[in-house]
Amino acid sequence: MQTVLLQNQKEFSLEPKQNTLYLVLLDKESSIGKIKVDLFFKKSNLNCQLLFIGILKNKSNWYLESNIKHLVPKTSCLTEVYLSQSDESKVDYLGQILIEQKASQTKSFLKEQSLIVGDAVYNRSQPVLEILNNRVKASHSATSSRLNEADLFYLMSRGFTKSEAEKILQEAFFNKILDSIKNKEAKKMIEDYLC
Amino acid sequence: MKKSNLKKLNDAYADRFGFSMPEKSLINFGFGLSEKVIAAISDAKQEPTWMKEFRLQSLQTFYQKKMPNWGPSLEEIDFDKIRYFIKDTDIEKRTWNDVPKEIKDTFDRLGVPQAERDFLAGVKAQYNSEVAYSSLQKELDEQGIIFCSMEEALQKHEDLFKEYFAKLVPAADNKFAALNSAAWSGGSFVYIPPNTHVKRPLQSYFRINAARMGQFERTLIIADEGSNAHYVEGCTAPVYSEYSLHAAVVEVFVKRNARFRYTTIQNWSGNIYNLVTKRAKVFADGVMEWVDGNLGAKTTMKYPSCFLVEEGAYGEMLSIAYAKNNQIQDTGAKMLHLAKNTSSKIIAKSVSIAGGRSNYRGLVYVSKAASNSKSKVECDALILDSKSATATYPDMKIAGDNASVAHEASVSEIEEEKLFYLMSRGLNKIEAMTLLVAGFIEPIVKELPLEYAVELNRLIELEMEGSVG
Repeated sequence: MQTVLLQNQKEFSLEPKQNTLYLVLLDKESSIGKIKVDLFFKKSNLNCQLLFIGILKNKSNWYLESNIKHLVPKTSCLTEVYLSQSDESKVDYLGQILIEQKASQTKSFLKEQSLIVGDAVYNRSQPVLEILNNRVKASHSATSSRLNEADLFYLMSRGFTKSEAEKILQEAFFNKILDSIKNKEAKKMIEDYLC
Repeated sequence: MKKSNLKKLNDAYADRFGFSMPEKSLINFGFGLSEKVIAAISDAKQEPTWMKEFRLQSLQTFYQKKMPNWGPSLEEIDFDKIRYFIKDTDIEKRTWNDVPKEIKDTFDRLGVPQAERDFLAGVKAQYNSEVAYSSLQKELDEQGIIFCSMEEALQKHEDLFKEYFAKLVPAADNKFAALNSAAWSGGSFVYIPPNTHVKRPLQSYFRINAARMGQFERTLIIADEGSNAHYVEGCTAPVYSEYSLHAAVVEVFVKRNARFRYTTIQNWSGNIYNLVTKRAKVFADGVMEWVDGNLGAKTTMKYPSCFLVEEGAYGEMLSIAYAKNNQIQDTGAKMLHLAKNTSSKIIAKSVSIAGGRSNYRGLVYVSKAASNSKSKVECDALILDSKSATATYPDMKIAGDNASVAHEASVSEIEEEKLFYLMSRGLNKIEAMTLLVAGFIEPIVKELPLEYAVELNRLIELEMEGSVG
């Protein structure tokens, strides 16, 4: 799977290419940001992945949007959004999947996970599905949760400070994604971003 | 007919058949909404001045409010072509022949008794099972439970009524709540005293009752501290109405440690816009459960909500939507976590068939004050043919510390493998699909009172017969 890093722009409107990972890494230093990605599937037999990764801190305020439109049969897309939020950061995410009436045998999934590390953060999530064909498989899931108290307690009982323990668990959260990515180039980009 | 003669006739009917003829009203206001109509509704019901003023003020709010600019199209609704005050005599003028054939056929297949069919089809205005009603009423009276029509409650329990009425759904909430506030008529008033457990579901004994059913009914329920009750509204058999708009308002107050379940099965005929505002306010450690089945109507927009206002409050929503023949079932739920340690769960299932469209539209809001709150939302949609559609529009806003919110939704068709297995065991395609649909909605159907569950399954079986294959 080839990797395309989406950067230096706020809005992307793309016709996806076969077996491609579109990667969005949110700028950690930015205090305010907006990223919108539209993927239009106009050719059959295409399969791609869209991945957002972000570590949001320092009162940063983000608006994220993904619109996956399946217009023809036999296409598939996996959209994943992994965010870690701390220090009063805010995020508003709208993730839409539209499967048109002609687009039978489509597979489209959206997964959003927000890990709340600090206090006073705000998270808004709107995962939308619009399905106009019956021969499809589509789903979305969105979760927003804090670090597991039991995990935190265990690590702190082993001598880690609270912030060290939080960092380890945050790494573990993102490691799940790294494990699922086979492309070395993409893996390297994400590892560099997480450092 | 003289009133005394009518009373005798009613008594005789009540004794012999368990239902009575309506008392006829001589009031007629024609079509359209005006201050005159609203004032006349209030006068006819002999309401106190404050209620009349409330209605008139709500009418102004209705004029000011705009139609919703989201969701299904409501352009067809013409407020000037609706009758806001319906006299019983007009309902009597309709005959059995006016009732659409599909509805008559469904009654036949469901085995609905003729007297009940007449009521559901609007041929008869009243169907009160007086005998059952009286015995249940006696039982409720002994426990101090108030269960009566809203009109009766306003006359007999005005202070209690005034304390809660429109406190949860104010007229300014939305255009249709304003309309209901101005023109409301009928609906139930329920008060459950502290620590009282109502053994039988309210309404199941007299599930259809003219005074509790109408175009703009309003329901007000107060479950006092530590009480426990189940209220059932509507029925599975189709309800035929000529009137194009049904805009109800339901307010439920669930006090500390109380538990209340509100079950609705809506099966209006296919010409109705069903636009309902339902809301519950749940206090400390209270539990509110909405169980909602939407089968009928042309367009339904209904999002029952729970305001979880004190620590430990819990809200739950179980809903089924069945959209067929170009129906739009735009349903969902709203859970507002406004205090710490509150929790909620939404399970929504929908089936779209023969050009129907089901939408889930929901909100989970966790306020800053609602630390340690939890919410889980599950939406599953089944599309049975290429003409149908489905959508989910969830919205999750989380500001509370240590909140945990999860949402998942899936859309699928009936799996070929399952269908093949059932057909290889001798079922035909329709039977196999019906069985799979029944299995899909089973988690919600099992929460319904038995007679409703049986009838609902039977109804879905009938609906599937004409739509598959």
